[in-house]
Amino acid sequence: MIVFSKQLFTLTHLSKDNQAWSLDQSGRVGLPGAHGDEIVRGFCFLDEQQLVFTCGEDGKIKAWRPGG
Amino acid sequence: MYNLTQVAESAFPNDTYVLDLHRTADGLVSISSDQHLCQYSLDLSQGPLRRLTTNHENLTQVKVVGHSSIVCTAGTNGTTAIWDLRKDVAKVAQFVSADAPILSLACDGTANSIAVGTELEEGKHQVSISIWDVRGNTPSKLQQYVEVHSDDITELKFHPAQPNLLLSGSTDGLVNVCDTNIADEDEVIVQTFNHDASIHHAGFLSLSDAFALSHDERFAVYSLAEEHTTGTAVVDYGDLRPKLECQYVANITIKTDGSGAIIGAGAHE
Repeated sequence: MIVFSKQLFTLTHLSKDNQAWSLDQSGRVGLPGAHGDEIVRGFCFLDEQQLVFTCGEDGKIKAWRPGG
Repeated sequence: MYNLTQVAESAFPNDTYVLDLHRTADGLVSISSDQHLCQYSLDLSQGPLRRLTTNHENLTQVKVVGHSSIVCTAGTNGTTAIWDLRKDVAKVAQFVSADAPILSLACDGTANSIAVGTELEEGKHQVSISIWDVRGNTPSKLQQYVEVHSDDITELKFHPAQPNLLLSGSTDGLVNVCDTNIADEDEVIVQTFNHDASIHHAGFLSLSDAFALSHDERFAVYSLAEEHTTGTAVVDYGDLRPKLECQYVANITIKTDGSGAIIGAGAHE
């Protein structure tokens, strides 16, 4: 098994400004540790609650929030 | 980069994959390789509120109608099930909705109709998109298209404002938009976007724009406007991996406030 030194899942906002779509690369959000060495299969978010949920091939569902 | 912190988790037994998860009216649902549909509150530390056993051979899809408590699941035995999470007996219906394994599923925002797309089985020559009216007790088939795609149908989405417009993506490299009000299959495709790579995910970014993401992480935005009927990309980002410093793109989720979409990408280094 390959062991990775960095495991990260990122969320990038694609938005339309002045009629053009652009990726907000400077405003990316990171979920450090993610699901370890396993693939993240899905995610959803509740902006109003500042909550992000992820699920993965490690058999886990995780909740994420700002701060720490 | 701004980092979030993990605040809770819920774990399945070893060797289970959690295949997907979605918001509902008051929580979350997941599907997993142990063939369960699980319901959660927003406080994951409570674990699943309900573990519902599904009967799809292999569960492939879960979709929530709007952000309601109505959930649809589908799988490789060609069946679709409809669940109402507010009810004690959650499963409302299960019916054979395709004659091949289902790889893609869409629900319109009003729970009036669902669409399913199939896998190209070995020895067969056709894939199908079937659209079902699921109002009332007995689902009825409204349309079936067998010539819109030539390989696995991996994605289906209803237009957010015009539920007669159905977007489909396939491993044949095309994203099509069909007008389901048109009865003649030869005339149903109103736009074709040739992404020229096997489609992993596709959808509507807004009322007038669509996206396609290939299995090799190539991403482009297409316009539904009439002056763009040739179907060429209005923005072609190419391979997202160098831009997002990632190894894979998991999915793209549309923001409900209309401000675009969130691209979720994973990195292992």
